[in-house]
Amino acid sequence: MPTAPTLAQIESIVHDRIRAILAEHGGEPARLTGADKLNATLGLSSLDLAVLVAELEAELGVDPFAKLVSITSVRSVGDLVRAYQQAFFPELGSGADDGAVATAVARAGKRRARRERG
Amino acid sequence: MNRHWLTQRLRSWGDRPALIWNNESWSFARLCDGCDGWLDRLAQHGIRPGDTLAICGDYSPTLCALLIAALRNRNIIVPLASATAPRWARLMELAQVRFAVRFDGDDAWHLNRFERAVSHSLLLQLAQRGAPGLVLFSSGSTGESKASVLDFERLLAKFEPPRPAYRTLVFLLLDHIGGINTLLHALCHGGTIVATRERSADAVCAAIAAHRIELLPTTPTFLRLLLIADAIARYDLSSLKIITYGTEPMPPSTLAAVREALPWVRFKQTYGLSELGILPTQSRDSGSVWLKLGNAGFEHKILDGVLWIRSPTAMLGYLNAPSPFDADGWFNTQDLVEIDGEYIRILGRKSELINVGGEKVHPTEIENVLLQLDNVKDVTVRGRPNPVTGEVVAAKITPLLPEDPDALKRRVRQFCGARLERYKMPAIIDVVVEDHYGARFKKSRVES
Repeated sequence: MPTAPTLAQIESIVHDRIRAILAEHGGEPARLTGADKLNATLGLSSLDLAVLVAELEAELGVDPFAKLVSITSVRSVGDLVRAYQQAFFPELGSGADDGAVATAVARAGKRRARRERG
Repeated sequence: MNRHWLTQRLRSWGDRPALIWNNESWSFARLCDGCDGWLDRLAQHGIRPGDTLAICGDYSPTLCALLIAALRNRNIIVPLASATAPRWARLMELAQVRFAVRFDGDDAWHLNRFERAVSHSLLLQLAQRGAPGLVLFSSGSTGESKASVLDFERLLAKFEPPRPAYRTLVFLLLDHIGGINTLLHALCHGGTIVATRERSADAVCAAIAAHRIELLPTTPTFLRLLLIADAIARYDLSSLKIITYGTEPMPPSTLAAVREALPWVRFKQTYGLSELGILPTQSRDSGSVWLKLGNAGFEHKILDGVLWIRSPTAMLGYLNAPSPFDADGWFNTQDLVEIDGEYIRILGRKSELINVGGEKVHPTEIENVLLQLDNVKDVTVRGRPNPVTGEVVAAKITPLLPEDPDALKRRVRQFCGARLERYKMPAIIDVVVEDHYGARFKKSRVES
């Protein structure tokens, strides 16, 4: 299990990768929002998405689509960000409230600190 | 069997050098004497016609003499190269080996007997017919190696008509159909085989220079290694006349570069499988990767882009897998080919095709492009599962000189962007330092 990044770091990594692909197409993307549709708004093709998840797997070391999340449920930037966040914090997938998420994040932080010490 | 044409042929070459090993020359007469000595020894040890005999080691003189003696003794021969030593026990079990002669690096040998019965119908069939046999294992890159059983007498028949002989460096290992073919071709036609202990670029070039080698049977991967090591310029390779290459598709860029480095050499592509034997081939020209498959009893057809072959030297079957032949004796090679008139071009294995959202990608096509990029020593392309498109193209690249992986990846994307359709571009690029081949100098596409 790779060291868990924070929720914000995951979001930032996913956004960076999307922006890099948009830049390859010659676009100058404005600031991304979670509501942006990957295909309808940003114009990403299925091949772009394939490359995107391959790159994110290489960078983050997890593949949320192997078991946890169906790729067909991913429509927006926010969906994609949540899929990766959920891979590190499974509690996010069960409709957990903010308190539970905060606990999960704190637990992951402790795990990371333990690993770094060891 | 003493009147066998092979015995008479080898004796007829007399004092001509048959084999050069450790810089020592063995004449055909000495090789035949060694062979007669082995025939006596085989009888003393109760090794009878039809017995399975493993011959373990590489091309040392006493080993070669044993191989010919075992052929004359009508044994079922199981050659096992040193490179596969960790798997010998399992391979011998699969081939129901009853006797094994193991050679060490100094040509000394040791004989073992195993208490196991030969029960497989293909082995019994050979024994009942009194025919010598040969068991060859597939590389076993996926799952267990498949053991092909061949009639050695049928394989040998093609060497009876006289042909030109060359001083040949034995590069392909003896447990490979190409290695067996090289050895028999050289010896049956009065040529000389030269064996080297090492098969590095420098060791091979040094042997070519020292022994005036004329024929080098090798692989595209090794030829690329020769270029990268810049070994060609450092040795006198003027004796070389022919380089034959096979076992994997040849990247056109490698062929062009090696032809430029060795402009006086003729290049010829070979095609063979342990299931079928070696087919006669003719390259369109020295610089072409297109080849014509010869007749000589071999037939071929192409169905849905896949090459099928019917061969007079085809194996009897596998020891550990169902027969791969159809009812009419055709063998599906699984090799995808392109056709241009009577010539074909091998594109690669069907099983290695990458399916990117329904679009088919040949790994060799992508490798051929990437090999043209500066500072790329080697590249292996394969499919990697992907939730969106089923698979994506993944490239493993070893740079020639150290380079920042991110910079190399950027260069790869830029280079491919101008030359390949988007779905063919590597979605995953792994920059590594290790080589992409094993003891057979053949690219391994197995995910490590």
